[in-house]
Amino acid sequence: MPEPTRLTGPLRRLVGALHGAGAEWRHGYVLSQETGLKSGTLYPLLIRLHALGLIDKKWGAPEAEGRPPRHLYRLNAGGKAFARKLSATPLPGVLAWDVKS
Amino acid sequence: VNALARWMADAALRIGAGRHGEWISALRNELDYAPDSGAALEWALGGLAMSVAHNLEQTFFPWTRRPDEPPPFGAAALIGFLAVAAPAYFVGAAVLYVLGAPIPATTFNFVSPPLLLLGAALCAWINLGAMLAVGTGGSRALRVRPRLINMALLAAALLVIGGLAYHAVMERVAGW
Repeated sequence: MPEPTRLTGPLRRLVGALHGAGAEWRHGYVLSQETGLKSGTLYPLLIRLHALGLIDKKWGAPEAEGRPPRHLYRLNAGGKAFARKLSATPLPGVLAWDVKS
Repeated sequence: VNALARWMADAALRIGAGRHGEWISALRNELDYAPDSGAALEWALGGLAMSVAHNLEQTFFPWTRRPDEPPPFGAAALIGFLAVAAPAYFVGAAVLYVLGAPIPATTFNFVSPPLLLLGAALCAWINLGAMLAVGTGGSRALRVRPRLINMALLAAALLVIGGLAYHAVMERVAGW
């Protein structure tokens, strides 16, 4: 399965949050609060992860009368494997520090 | 503030319709769940920025567009107009100056010709890119989707480029 080539900090935070949710579905706004990412950063990342086949998405039912339905996201099997691999890969800065010390 | 956030989210949906339409709809729907107006505005602003960035990417790099996506004719026309308007003004001023009109040389002499040429070339590039579409699947054939405004701007850009080139040659050869 293809994987993102640029393992940026925001990507790591998003994958970490989705991985932490386990099998639970998460809304975009909740993910934004959990990761501290703005919508303009969060959604392009979600689009990338979905295009790579790492997350599942679905429309959930409206939470109350008159409110719109919400998109829900969670990691699929490939996404979980990628998350585990990502958590085992240190950030470049950390690696450089480790090598120096 | 809420009305402004909604307007921005609707604008994001209009601009970004196409490949990411479903995602931008999802982003817009989340507005109803924002805890306050400030958060809603920030959320909508992010969506608008994402849509504009996507639109600009498709405008400047037409090969990133999927064959079933509508070309960004409007964005190409707007950016093209801005990119060609300045060179057109300076070329016009230069031509009038050469013809003897009482225009001070500083009217057109403070912007470098390469910059003007870049503006005109940018206009030609994005309008041509908007009108060209690559075929689907195995077919890589180019198709042209002509739009009057894009063709007019392309023609204007080529005229400006011609004018600049002519002026540069005459300046060197005839010592204008």
